[in-house]
Amino acid sequence: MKRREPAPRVSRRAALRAGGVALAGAALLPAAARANTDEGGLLLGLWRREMNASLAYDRVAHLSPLLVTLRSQEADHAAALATELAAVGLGTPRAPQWASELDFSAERLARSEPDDVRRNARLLEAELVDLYLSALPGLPDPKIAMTAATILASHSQHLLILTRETGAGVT
Amino acid sequence: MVTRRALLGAGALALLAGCGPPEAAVVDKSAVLDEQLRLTQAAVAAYGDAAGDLKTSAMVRARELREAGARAEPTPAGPTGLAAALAAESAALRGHVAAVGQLADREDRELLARLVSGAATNESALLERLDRPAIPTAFPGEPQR
Repeated sequence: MKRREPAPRVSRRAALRAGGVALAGAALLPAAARANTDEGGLLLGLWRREMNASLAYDRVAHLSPLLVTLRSQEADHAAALATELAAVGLGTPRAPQWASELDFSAERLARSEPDDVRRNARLLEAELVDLYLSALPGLPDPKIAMTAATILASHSQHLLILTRETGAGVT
Repeated sequence: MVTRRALLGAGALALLAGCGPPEAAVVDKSAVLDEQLRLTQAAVAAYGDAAGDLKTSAMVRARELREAGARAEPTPAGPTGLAAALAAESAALRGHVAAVGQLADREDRELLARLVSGAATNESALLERLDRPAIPTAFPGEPQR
């Protein structure tokens, strides 16, 4: 059996120095490159929320065909955002596997009792609408912003349908 | 007299200039906003007497655009009713998404985000009232291919 090579030892001082260089490098980045970094971070956050939502719907999808559609559309959103992330030179981290890895709203949906699923799905979609409303001004790249706009449209529609289903009020 | 070296140098400069970044297309912000208002007014008109609640929300979007400085001629008379409103709201949604790609200022994007959300909500509500699948795509407003 092949033995694994021991990881090279890095002293604390060297690590601190490397961190300092990275920080300085970021400070010296041209404005356009910094904007790309910010945009990448924002995209990554959106991707995480879509992956979380998709997994949450997956946990409750057996309860209704609507929830299957919502799971599928959230997965489509995540895939589109992953494509945009690749376009700005960023990969995607490991996808969440367990409810305990999700953000609060997605975990609440994933762990819902059947009677609470639609209400918790509506709360999740309302959060996603707010998230995209606030994210859209922070995406300078036109193509990325247009993709995010269509996803905002999609979550707005999900929210309408779930609001109707829960009798929570007008659109 | 022009030397061979000077000619070569001029050629190289011309080549380098040709390799520069492309000039950004100039966007007329007023024209983009005016078009959003034209589309939204067309949606308002297309409702006719149908779906008063949805028509009202379209009117609110039109008012918001006017407050942002948009101007548009009144919409010429055309077909009205749920199907006409659906076609008009879908066209407005596609226009708003396209405008997101044209205007990048924070204030414009905030306005466009609200328009996108509002038109998408009405599109879905109209699909529902026409007994059609209310969320047929994961990317509403995507440019038509």
